Amino acid sequence: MPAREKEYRRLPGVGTRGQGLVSVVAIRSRLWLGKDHLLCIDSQGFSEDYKRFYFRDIQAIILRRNAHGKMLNGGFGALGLIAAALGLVLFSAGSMIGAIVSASFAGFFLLVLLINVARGPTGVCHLRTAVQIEELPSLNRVRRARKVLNRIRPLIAEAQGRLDSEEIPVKMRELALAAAPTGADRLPMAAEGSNVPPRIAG
Amino acid sequence: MHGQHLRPACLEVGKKKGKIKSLENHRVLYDSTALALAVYPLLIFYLTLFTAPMALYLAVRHWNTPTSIIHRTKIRLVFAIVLATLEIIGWGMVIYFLATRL
Repeated sequence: MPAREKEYRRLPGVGTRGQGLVSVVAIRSRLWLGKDHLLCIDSQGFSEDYKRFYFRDIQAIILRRNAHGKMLNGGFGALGLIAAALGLVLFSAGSMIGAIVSASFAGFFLLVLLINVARGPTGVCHLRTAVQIEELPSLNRVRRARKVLNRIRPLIAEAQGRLDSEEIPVKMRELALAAAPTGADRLPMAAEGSNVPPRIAG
Repeated sequence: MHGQHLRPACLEVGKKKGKIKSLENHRVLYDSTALALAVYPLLIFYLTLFTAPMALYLAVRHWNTPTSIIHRTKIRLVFAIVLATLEIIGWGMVIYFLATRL
């Protein structure tokens, strides 16, 4: 009997969706790859919310670096240094147990720091469609996000068609001409369609 | 929708009953709830007197209710039923022991 084909495949990464300053339940967000769409699952433990992003509807995926990783590194580094310094003070004062406890804390913070460094730079990823811009919390590491993007890029190209770099200016001109007013009394001020670049009246 | 033509009424009913999977945007995970009701109260054992029947009821009542949209097995429901049954049997034995000895 042939194995049942999986409807969704899990994409790497888990993130937490921000809900403001105070939140009772952490919302874990994960991305799954469907046949013709990306599925974002926000899990609250006992319930799940789903958002589907069809490949044909995706206009852009915006990835930018942020300083969260560096801030975490700074925090863990500082805590590790404080624990190590405390350990040295306790060791010089003759308290072996205190020194061992402090060294353990310093080692723990160093380990967390190393893990954070190894995971690579942090970032924020947004997905844009015609009706929304949605954050994808699971793609909060640049390396992981690029890996996922490389995986879904061919699927988006397959759904939307590929555009060569030479074709882009031609298509843009066509769109601009299509959106141009027919009457001579209308001054073009800005783009009317969401896909047309803005035109400034000369 | 996906090559199908649906009337608004059918669309509404399909969404409400969960028949059209691509329209679903929320699901309650009764299997996780039942398992949590069977496992977590073990930390404060007396709570299981109340939570074990609840877990058993949830697991049986929602045996056929779809769980996560991602394919999941019924293992959580099975564990919840087994654990809740054992807890209920345990309480039954305690009550029987107390009733016969006192």
